[in-house]
Amino acid sequence: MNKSTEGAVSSVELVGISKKFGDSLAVDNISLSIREGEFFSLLGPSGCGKTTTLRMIAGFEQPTSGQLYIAGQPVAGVPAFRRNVNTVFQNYALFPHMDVTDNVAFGLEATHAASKTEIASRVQDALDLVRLGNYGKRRPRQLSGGQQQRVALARALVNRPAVLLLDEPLGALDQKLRKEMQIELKHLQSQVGITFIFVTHDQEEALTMSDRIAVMSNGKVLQVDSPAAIYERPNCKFVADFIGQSNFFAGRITGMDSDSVTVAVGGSDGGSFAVQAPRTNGMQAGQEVTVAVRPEKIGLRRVVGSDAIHSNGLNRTPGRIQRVIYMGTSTQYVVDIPGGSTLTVERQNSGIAEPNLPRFARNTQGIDLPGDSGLVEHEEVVLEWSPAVTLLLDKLRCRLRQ
Amino acid sequence: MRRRPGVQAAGLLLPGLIAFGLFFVIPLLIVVGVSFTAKKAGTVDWTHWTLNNYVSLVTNFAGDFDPLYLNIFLRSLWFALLTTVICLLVGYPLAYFIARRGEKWRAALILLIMIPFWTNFLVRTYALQLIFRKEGLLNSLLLDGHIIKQPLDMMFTPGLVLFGLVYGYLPFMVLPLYASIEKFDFSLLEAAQDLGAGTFRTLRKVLLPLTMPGVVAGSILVFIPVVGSYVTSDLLGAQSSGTLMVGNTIENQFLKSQNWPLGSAMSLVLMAVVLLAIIIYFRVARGDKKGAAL
Amino acid sequence: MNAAIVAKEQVAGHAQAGSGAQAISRPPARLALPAWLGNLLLKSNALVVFLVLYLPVVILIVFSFNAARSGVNWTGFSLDWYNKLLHDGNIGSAAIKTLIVAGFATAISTIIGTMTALALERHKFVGKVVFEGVMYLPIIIPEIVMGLSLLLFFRAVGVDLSLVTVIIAHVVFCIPFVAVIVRARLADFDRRLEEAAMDLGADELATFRKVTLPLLMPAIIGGAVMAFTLSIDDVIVTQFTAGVGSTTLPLYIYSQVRVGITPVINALSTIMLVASIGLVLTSLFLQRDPAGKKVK
Repeated sequence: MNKSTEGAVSSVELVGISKKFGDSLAVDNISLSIREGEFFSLLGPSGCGKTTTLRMIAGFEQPTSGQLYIAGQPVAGVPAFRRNVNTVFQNYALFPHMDVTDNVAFGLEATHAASKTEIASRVQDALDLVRLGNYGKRRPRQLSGGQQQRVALARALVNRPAVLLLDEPLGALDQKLRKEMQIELKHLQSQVGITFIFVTHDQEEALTMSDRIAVMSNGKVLQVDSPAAIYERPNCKFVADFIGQSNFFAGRITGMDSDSVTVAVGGSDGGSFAVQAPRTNGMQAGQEVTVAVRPEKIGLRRVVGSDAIHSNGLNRTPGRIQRVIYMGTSTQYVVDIPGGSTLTVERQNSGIAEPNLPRFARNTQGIDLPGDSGLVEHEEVVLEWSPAVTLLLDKLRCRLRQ
Repeated sequence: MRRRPGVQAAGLLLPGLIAFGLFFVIPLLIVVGVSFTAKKAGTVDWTHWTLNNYVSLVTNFAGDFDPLYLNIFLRSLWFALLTTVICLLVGYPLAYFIARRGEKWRAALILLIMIPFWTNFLVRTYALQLIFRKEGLLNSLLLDGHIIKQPLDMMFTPGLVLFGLVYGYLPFMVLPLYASIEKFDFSLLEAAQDLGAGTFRTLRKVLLPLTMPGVVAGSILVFIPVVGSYVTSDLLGAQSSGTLMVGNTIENQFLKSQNWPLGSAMSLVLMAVVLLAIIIYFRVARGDKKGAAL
Repeated sequence: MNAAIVAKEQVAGHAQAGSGAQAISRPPARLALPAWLGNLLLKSNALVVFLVLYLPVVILIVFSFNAARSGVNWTGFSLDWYNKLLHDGNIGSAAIKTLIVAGFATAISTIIGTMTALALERHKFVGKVVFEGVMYLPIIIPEIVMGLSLLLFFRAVGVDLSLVTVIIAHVVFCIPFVAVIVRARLADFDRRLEEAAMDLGADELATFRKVTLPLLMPAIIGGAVMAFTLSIDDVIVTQFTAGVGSTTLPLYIYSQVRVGITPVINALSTIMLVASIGLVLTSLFLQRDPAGKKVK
């Protein structure tokens, strides 16, 4: 009965949902429209309200105000055991006094969903789906963390819910296992085809797995977008900072053009330089803005001759390397620029020779290290980046773009 | 939810409420009432009201001040205090010792502490008789070993009663202490010593304050029953002049003299004393807590 | 851990005061028991306590096999007293009465105690604090006061003393113990297991039946065992509430012990001890966590 503007039926719809605990507002008037079959993530730091939101969809908390629809039906007041929604809990919450088969069968038995034989076969299918087909007789305590997690998944999926809710399910796993499970979960979701709502504070995880992400902070939704859009076009400082890294500058718009603006970026000791950025709606001359540029978008090279003045359409500033941080796939450079601030630049250690970086690093045994650019501290460099990747963010507000 | 949570709570609560209201609160109120009535053997005379019972606690028949009952109360308090202190001094190192063992040892040792607890209290106290009476075990050993010439007369002495009380109530002290010490983070002791604190300072400033809940619980679980106890003093003291306790007196009034009002009055005073003791104890224990860590 | 930091600061503060401004050298001699001495003291204390605790029990058992009637001389091994015990009608009927009382008292107090624990731990209601206080009073009120208050109550209401009044009295003082034990387990209970059950479609009753109750069972059994132990052992309250002909075992023993002692009492005590140990071991076995973890 509720359709989003695209015309597809929304799987879960929140309209003006708020939740108060005593005096504190955990969720502040959020509205979300989650599409069917989507892998949708709620991303934010601890305490931002994402888990509370999930629990309201599951039915463990009732909203203080607003409406909630699942598969088009309003669910206000409907208790958790009557919603066609299942949850994978953070600590798995497997019943310790039952074996794996009984755990997985629990929902089907509790709702008298099928005959005994059908339940048995569906349980086996679910276990096969998560590749635990032979583990039916084991007890939860005999399983590893990853295996417990898969049982929890099977237990939820066997009920064929309209929506699957996952509350930071990968938090307890070690790095390698996490990455594997991320791929598995994504694969599983496309196989099963149901809507997944995934809560996490790990932005890399959210970026990897989601079709769309809702970034939350302090009970509010700041931005809802695809991972690429969230990353490349964050609409406020919080999002730009929370997702990946950014360099931030305070600046003021000094000039405007049909498709670009000029921003004066001031330094702390009076030095300043100008940058170009794309023009969007709502910008005015004299406006105070925050300029954001991601480290990997900035190129750096040695100063050669008099190219300092020669303009090639890129934003540019000279600098001096303060610190080199070698990270394996890339190297980060912390660069002091005129005006007292620093820029962080990240550069792939691709080993491809570039102009003005002819020499690779050489280690103490005299062996070439092609992945290392050879730049060292105190070197003078030039930093360049494209105006297209220069973001201008409103200092105070996050404009919500659906 | 379909049912209001309040209804559910009421349903769960009702049996307990009835049981307690009817068979605990009301009887206690009756005791209060009876304490103000006049004696009538074997029953309650609700028509005669008097303060005599309370008065007679501190006076004799002539109306002069008589410290008889006062002494009995004080003695009971004193015994209870001594018992608590001794149980604490003996029980704390014991609980600490057990808490430091490995997991299997701990379970086994606690079980061992509990087993005497499961023998009937009377029977255990009676066993003490076997040991300490004139023709008892201790005396025959000492006589046979030519350590003494005459059998020691240990029965019916305050010392024996005290021993019997400690013997009977030690598990009540050890278990709460153990529960508290077992939760203690022993690496704190190492931290203290690493910083230069000696053994006693470490115990006083780190271990003791953090295990105080166990000390309080154990002390209450020992002190209160001992104040009102009478079995031990009956069996080991035979109500001789040096060992008569409040419990014995109350029991006498109720079951022998059939003077229920007097017995009730004594009971109320006993309860008041117990409550007072708890309050004082908590004040002292809390005061300690504020000074120490956390 | 915050406690560790605070402890360090405290100790450091005092240590500093002693050492003054010296940065490197240790503060002057602090009294510390060498580890071996401390351990020795602890061990010997424990040993002495266990010896003292068990000696009377052991003597009791040993002398139940002594052929002599009284005195402490060992005159030979004999099962006479056990024989006499088995044929003693008084003891037999007292034992039966004790078991009847304990059985009913345990059953009733366990049920009421569990319900009360659930109500207190999971619900808020008017007068909760007061109720909690009253509930825990029987643990700290002197037993003698409880006993005589019930005596007066029954008299006032006109009820004759009998086994029933004894059962009622036992129920009243057992409930708080059951409630405390069950409540402790409830406090540690992972509510998310119940949420998971409801998430999967089980309503409140089904969740309670299939998840909460099975996992609570060890504590309930523990409470029941506690109640049973308290009941079969009770003297004081029973003395006040038992009518003529309601003599339980403890009462019987009490009367015998006051008067004259025969080794039959020894034999009885030995059997009771063995039975208690057996009961507790059985209950420990039953208390095995259905989740498979060891019970502490």
